[in-house]
Amino acid sequence: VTLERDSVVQVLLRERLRIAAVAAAVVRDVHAADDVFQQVVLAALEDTEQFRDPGHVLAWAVRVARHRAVDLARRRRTLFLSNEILDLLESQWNDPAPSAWPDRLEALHRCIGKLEGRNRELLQMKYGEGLTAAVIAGRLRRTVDAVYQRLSRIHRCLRECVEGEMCRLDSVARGGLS
Amino acid sequence: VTPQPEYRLEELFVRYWDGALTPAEAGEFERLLAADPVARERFQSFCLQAVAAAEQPAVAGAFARPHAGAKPGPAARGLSRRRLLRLVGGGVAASAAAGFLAHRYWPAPPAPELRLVSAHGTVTVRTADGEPVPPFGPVPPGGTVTTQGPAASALLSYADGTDIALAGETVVTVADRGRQLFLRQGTATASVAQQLADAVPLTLVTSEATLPGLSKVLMTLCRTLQATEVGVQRGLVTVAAATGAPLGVVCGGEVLTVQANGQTRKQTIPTTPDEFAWDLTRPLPQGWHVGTRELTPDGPVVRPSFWFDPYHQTMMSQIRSDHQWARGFFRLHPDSLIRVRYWVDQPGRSQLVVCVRTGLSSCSETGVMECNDAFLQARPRQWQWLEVRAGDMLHNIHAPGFGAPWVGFLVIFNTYEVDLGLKVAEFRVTPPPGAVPGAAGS
Repeated sequence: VTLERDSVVQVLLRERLRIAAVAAAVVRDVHAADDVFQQVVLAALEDTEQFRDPGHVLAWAVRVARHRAVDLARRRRTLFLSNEILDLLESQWNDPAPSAWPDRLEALHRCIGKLEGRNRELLQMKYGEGLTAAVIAGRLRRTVDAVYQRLSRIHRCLRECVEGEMCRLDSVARGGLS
Repeated sequence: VTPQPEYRLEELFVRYWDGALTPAEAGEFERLLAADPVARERFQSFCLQAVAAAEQPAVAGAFARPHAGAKPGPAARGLSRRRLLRLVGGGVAASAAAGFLAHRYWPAPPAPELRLVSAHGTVTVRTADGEPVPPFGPVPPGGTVTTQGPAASALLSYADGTDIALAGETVVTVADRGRQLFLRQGTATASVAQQLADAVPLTLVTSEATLPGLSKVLMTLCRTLQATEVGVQRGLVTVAAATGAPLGVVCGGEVLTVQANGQTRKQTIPTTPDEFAWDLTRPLPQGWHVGTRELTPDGPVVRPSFWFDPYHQTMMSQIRSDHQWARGFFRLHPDSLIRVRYWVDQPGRSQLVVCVRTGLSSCSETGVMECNDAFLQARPRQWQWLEVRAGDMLHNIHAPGFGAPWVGFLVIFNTYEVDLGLKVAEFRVTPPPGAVPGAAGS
């Protein structure tokens, strides 16, 4: 049994952030990662008959996104993580269970929305505009280290916020079941 | 200050992202990731944060503006696909500023140049500020190309061999260094060359649909009133809503219609028939442009409305059908007969117009077939028939420059600035005797 084209595309679009993040981990450029995602979709559509189920599509997409991103990083002469690390990461990209991902992504968007405006703008400069910390530091008249510290604090806050939201959702779900 | 070990990964991650790790730090980073599944999970969550954060709307003015004498920083690249819709909605100034900064301080990759290489009829190119620019040559980022009148056309071309042909009455705005085209109205036919892996992707956008990452495809995109029609002749196109929600995949030989309310309908592109009639027993199709259906004692009719005709640049009393580029309504041969049962309160200047394309919907060449003074000799206040041969509708300056069969994709009744009290009860096309049904594909 193979998946219909539309089903394949729906899986890919639903998992867009995850697949783009796989590529971003290698190329460290969100927009290039987004381009890799587009290539993954096109590649998937060239041979949709290979896919048995949504999990298969996701695993395939993660693998292809990784390799396309590595190709791109090589062309750009960008250093990236070793193959051993990428293997370990790839095996984890399917976790947690796919059913938990929508909640996790929603929580992430909520948490980003809760950030103070200056922090959101810093994220936007760093990842949306793709600026280096040195450029941001010049723009904000701060030191490069200060920019790095603030960025790392924002990442930590977001991680803790998402974990908190997931815990809250989990407890609500358990309360609802009991 | 020595960072807490628990937070070391964040410190390393932000430097890794910048390519700023020292060899020692890079080794430490890899060891952390190799040894600790929790570290890998956190690394993944940081990557997700980066991707998700890039999609968030910018926070205007969150930071104080740098000192006037301070050097503004560079932007590493142009606008992303994901930001296009936001920018089209209102951030053009911000994107222009970012583009300026990028140009001034950063060795940005060369802009993939979009050029207007040919034009028929009245074609204008304006910058984002509305300033006219010479029609032939590069289309500036943020610029808008307009083809005025149903018979006008323009051909835009990229260096990679990709061509975008604009049919009549089409408005396209260019963004993201020319690689994102926002079709505001009309019809664009895209013959997209295979894109290299690291090329800036080509994306077509309308209010209803986004077609990202086009490659190796021949397709038409038609934006009409509150609907978008995606017709694919060759290749595959993925279509998403403006929200990013997937709408589907359109394969060669298929057409997907996306309504403003998000409803979609996918069909195989049918062979355009030689015989056609309006069915006024049913409501007018979605996307009907000008005119209203009314139930009268004599039965259902379509009456004109006043609207601003961009070609004539004035308010006119018209009926304009919906716009079906990919499928076409009907094929006309020289001896095809168009019959209209109509009523006017008074005779007057008037015309029946059929906008036509060639038998190939991927070809953007269009023409106009006109029956002028259609109701000038009409008898007032009674039902009567107008009959006209298609071959007799070619005596106008915008007549198709291509041979029959002509595929009608838009029907217009025009009584200029006067409401003659026109009511149309029937519109029919009958083929010439002996026409072979479906002889030319659409």
